[in-house]
Order: sequence, then C-alpha cells, then structure tokens
Amino acid sequence: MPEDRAANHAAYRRLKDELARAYEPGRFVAIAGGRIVADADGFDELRTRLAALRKDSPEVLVVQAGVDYPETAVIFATGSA
Amino acid sequence: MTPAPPSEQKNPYKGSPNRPWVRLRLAAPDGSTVEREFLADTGNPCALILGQQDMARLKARDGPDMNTNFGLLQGGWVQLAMPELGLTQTVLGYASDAVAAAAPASHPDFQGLVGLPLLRLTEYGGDANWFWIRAVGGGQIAPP
Repeated sequence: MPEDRAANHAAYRRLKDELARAYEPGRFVAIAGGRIVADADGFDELRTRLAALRKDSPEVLVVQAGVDYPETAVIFATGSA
Repeated sequence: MTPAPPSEQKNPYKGSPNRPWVRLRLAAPDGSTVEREFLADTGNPCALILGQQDMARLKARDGPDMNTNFGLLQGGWVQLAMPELGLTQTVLGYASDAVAAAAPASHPDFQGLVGLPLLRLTEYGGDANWFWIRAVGGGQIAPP
C-alpha cells in the first residue's frame, strides 16, 4: 500500500515529544502508516529492519529521536524566490 | 582544477559572482550513482538541496520537511558515495525545484546547494582563488 506522506509527517509532529522521551537521542525511528514501525541505532540497520517488515517504500518517514529539526529557515545564497 | 591528493577536492571559484562549489557523488537505492555540482554556502542550514527529480531518484527514505523563503523543502535521506573524502553517510537533504532552479543563476553547472551541515563533515576552506574540502574522521551528520 502506498505510504501517505502527509499522514506520516502529521504523526511525526504528534509523536515528536514522545520520541524524545522514549528513545535514546539520535536513534533512528521509522514512521509508516501514521505510526512508529521500527527503530535502530543507525540508518543502515533501520533500513534492514524495514526490509524485514516489508516496509521498503522510500516514502517511509525516518527521523532521529530528540533532534529538533527546524520547521522554518531562510536560504540566503541565491536570494529570495 | 589542479592536481590534488585523493583526500581533497580543490575547486576554483566560478560563476558570476564567483562562488565556492563542490562536486558530490550520491548513490541511489538501485545502486547507481550520480555526480552533481553544488554551490557551497556556509549560511545554508540544509546539508543538501536538490531538484525534485534528483531527490525522487536518490531518496532512501522520507525526512522531515522545512518551510523556507523558497517555499516548502521536502526532506529526504540521501546516501553520499565519496569514500575518498570520508563521505559515505546517509544525510538529510531536501528537494526544491525553486532552489535548484535558482542555483544556475550563478553558474549553469550548479544543480543545487550544500550547506554547513554537510561541509562540517569535512575540513573545508578557501583562499583568494580556491575552495576546498578535505577528508576528516567522518561520522553521523550533525542535525540542521
């Protein structure tokens, strides 16, 4: 079944604080179907786990627990669009 | 380009105005690789910004999105494939046709931007004529 990108991102925003509490900082966590499906110390290990779960889609969302990804930024180099 | 040891990439500034740049090799999930030239900008908080088509080919998994003055940048994890520079990590990049289209305004070879999170994976520097990146210890990319 194709991944719902919007649903995975909404789940990440909803689960962000829980991820920071429940997992070691920097741990890689995968979200598919709007829920957490796997976690691992490294990206390659997570990819292996996802393959075992038959969740190989590149649309699976991967984040690192505890990382505060900026939601907004200004790109300076080429001026404003 | 002058001869350089394999652990260094040294590029003359180019474009109008002159810009620092790097050439990166990226690996797609199907095992193929692509090389692209990226304008280097230490003020850019994104490791890497590519066009949508490149991201679709190269993306290993989705990553968190980011809103910018160029609109929404779609996050995606992409695999660096430059062992000669110690760059073999999977890094969080972003897709934006608006940014990818703006980069060639400086030089037509540029197909995107690299920012501080990627440059920090190397030892980078410049002088009056050249910009370079050199291999260091490697490791996971720092978050943006």
